[in-house]
Parts: sequence; structure tokens; C-alpha cells
Amino acid sequence: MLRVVKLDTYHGRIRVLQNISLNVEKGEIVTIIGANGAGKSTLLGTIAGVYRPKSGQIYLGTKQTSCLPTEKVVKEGIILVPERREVFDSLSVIDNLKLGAYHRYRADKKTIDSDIENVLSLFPALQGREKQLAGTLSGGEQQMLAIGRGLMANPKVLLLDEPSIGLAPLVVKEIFDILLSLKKRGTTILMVEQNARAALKVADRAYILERGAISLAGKARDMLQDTRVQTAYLGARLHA
Amino acid sequence: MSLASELLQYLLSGLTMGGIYALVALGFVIIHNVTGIINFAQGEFVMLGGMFMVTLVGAGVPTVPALVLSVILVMIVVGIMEFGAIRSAKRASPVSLVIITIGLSTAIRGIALLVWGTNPYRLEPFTAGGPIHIGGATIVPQSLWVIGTTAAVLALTFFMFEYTYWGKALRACVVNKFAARLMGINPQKMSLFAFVFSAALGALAGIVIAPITYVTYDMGLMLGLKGFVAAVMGGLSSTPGAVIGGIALGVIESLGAGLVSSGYKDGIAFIILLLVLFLKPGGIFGTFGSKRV
Repeated sequence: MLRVVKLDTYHGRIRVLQNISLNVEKGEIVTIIGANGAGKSTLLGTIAGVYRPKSGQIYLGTKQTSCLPTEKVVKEGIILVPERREVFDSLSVIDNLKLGAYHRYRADKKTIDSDIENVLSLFPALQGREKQLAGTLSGGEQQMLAIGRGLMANPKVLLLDEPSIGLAPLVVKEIFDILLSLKKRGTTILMVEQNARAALKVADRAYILERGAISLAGKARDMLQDTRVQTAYLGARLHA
Repeated sequence: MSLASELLQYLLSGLTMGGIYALVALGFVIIHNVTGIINFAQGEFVMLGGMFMVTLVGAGVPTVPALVLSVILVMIVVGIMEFGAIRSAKRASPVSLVIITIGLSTAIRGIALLVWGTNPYRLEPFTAGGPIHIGGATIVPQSLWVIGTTAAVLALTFFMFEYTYWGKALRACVVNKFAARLMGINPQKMSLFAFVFSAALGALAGIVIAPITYVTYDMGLMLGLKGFVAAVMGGLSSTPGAVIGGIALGVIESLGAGLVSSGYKDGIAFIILLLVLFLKPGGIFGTFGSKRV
């Protein structure tokens, strides 16, 4: 479904991503794990068209999306839910959701209302609060709104950047439960996470990103057992 | 004439000019919010509106079609301007773009000088009839047109931002440009929209004020600066702030001119600008809605 081939991205003269290749199949949850500054957000940003890659290609299906501007990438069906939510805080919950469908609003006017209901059914915490300003929601609720807003675009691939960052453990669990129910509905997800354990538990496959390059790839289940991953990202101690 | 009726008189003429300043200020704020640019050509939109109107009416076009046509013409001119001068320089920093708008305003004024010359043009008031007396003060019917148009345009703007999908997309751009892009909202389209909408506001201001102040090729300079002062008073990013700032500026100016000396009329606006920038750079009404994003 989504295929990234030999991607290089620079911020100015600094090479942030080196030779990244990965793929995400339809209906999968794939997670990218890595430390701060490993280039995770840059990778998602490049796929979403926020940053231009220096070389390499990104394909959605057979269509190449690398070097398209963000609004065209969105039209193709790649939607990024950014780090720190970035909801429209002085607009209402319902307006946030409506704007999520911006790229298909004219074509799908009639179905928008039922789509909103559909999305809200995933997030009980947001139900009945449609008129509330997004900025007055709690962090977890804002994250749900940001995901809901992304879903409103009918994405072929949903990119999630640190969906659990800054949230209380209980809320983190709630968010990951939502991701699992999204998977059941067939949504394809590529997710970047620092909370490696939680991410690996819901994901099908994982990539480890180290200093801008992929150092390990495999099934999420196997990664949870991998000693290198355990020591570096899951907080396990090596026994002497 | 008693002091009370004198004050009422200043208030009424202040409201008239204030309405014009509010329309110009609103144009500043909308463009600034969406693009980050302070568009110093905003005053020229006012002049162009007045000039097109005078020319069309002079050519025998009835008032209403002439008004609509003038507004559309200014929107087209500004659309071309945004496309040619602002968008083509999209890599430039906001400061460079601001300087481009200064250049554009000089260019537009120069072309207007070539086309229309230095003579002031007069436009007949929209409705005939003598001044109306209210409690010892008098007001010309055209002032009512100015105030009425301002109110109608403000209501329309409010409606657009609050209830239409386009307006919401524009607000989304203002609230969080990055997230708006991630929703597929094209910032270039929004920039064009902001410029063209502000052009319509400016053109309308120029048309309704034309019968009161005459139209000259250089009227845009002062009106633009006054509108800028009004926008700064309102905090530069708040639409209600711009409106209140505009009306307040009109009234203060009129009171100052009447009670102190009419020679200080223009000076007052700039003293206010300096005072606001020194004492309350966030705008007098910086408390509501003037969040910078």
C-alpha cells in the first residue's frame, strides 16, 4: 500500500534521514520506534509532504507521492496526525472534524454528517461535546479529536506522530485501544512512538530508527522478545 | 450650538470616518492573519474603488451596477497583484513581502496618477436630499450610507467566518497554519482569498466615502495609514479589535479636530499609533481574540 524507497531528507545541510526503505500493507499497523532526534517525525513529515526528500521515492499504491505538496498528498489519501495534536483550539469539536474532511468536502457534502457520527462513535469521550471549543478539551481528548479529524479525511494510510506523548497511562491505554478498533475496521496505520512497549503490543510490524537510518525491521511480536530492543527501548537490564 | 450638540456632531462625523477606517483595518487584519503580511497597499484598494466608481458613474452607468462592477474590478486587480507579485515571491520572508506591498502601493498610485491625473473627482451622493438634523447635530444622508454599509459588511464578514465552510477553513488557517495544511487546505488559495476579500472591503469603503471626501489618486496613502493605526489599536490580529479600533480612531480624531484644532486631525492618529506601540503593543483590546499564531 505505502512504499518508501531509499529516502534521504535534509534539514538544511544536515542529513536527517539516510536511505530509508519501508512498506506498509493494507490493514496493517506498522510502528517506527526510535529515540529522541532519531528522525521519526521527519520521516512522517516527509511522507506527508511537509518536507521534501532530497532523493528516494514514496509510493501510495502505484502512484508516486514524493515531492507533491501536502495538500496533494492529502488528496491522495495520506493523512498525518501531527505530534502535539495541533487541533484548531478556538474552533469547536464539530468544526475540527468538518475541516478534517476539507479535501473531499465538495464531493461528499451529503455524507459528511453521517461520517462525523461514525467517527464520533469511536470516541465516546467526545460525544455530546460537539459544540465545545477544542482548546478546552483535555490532552487525551484533544488527541482523540486529532485522530478523529484525520479519519474524517477518509485516509488510505493514517500517519500518527507520537499519539501517546504527554498523556496519562490510563489515557494512553485508551488511545491504543482505539487504534486496535481502527485496525478492526481496516484502517492502515503507520505510527511513530516513543512508548515502544505499548506500540509494539498493538502493531503488526515495526522498524527501529537510529540516527536517521533503519537498524532493525521485523514482526512486532519478535521485537518484544529481541534482547537488543529490550535493552535499548523497553527498559530491560542485561544480566551480567 | 451647545456643547452637547457639538459633541454629538463630532461623534456622528467620527462614526462616519470610523466606519471607513474599520473597513480598511479589517482588510489589514484578514490579510495579516492568513498570510502574516502587513499589506500596505490596502489604502490603494480604497482609492481604486472610488476611482472606478467615479469613472463608471461618469460614463453613465447607474449607481448600483457601477458599485458592483467597481468592487469586482478592484477584486480582479488585486487578484492579479497577489498572483503576480506576492505568490511569485513565495520564498521571500514576510518582511520582504511587506516591502513588496509598499512597492505595489507606490506603483498603483503612480498608475492612478497617469490614468486619472491629480484632479479630485466628485461623486453624487447615493440618495438626494438635504442634511438630516438629530438633536442639534446634522448629518448628511451619505454618512448614513457609510455607517449602514459598514454595519452590513461587518455582519456579512462575521457570518462568513462563523457559518460558512470557506470561512471556517480560513479561520483554521489563522488558528493553526500547519494543521490546516495537513487537512489539505492550500495556503496559497487562502492567501488569494484573503487578498481578494480585503480588496472588496477596501473598494466598498472607497465607494461609499467618495461623495463625502472626493476621490484623488493619493487618497489611499492616508486612509491606508489610518486603517493600519486602527488595526494596530485592535492588536493587528483581532477582527472585532480592528472594527472597534477603526470606529474609536474616527471618533477620537473628530473630537480632537473639533475641540483642539482641525490642524491636528492627522497628527492625532499617529500619536495614537505611537502611544499604542509604546504602551500596549498587543493592542488596546489585546485581551480578546488577539492571539498570535
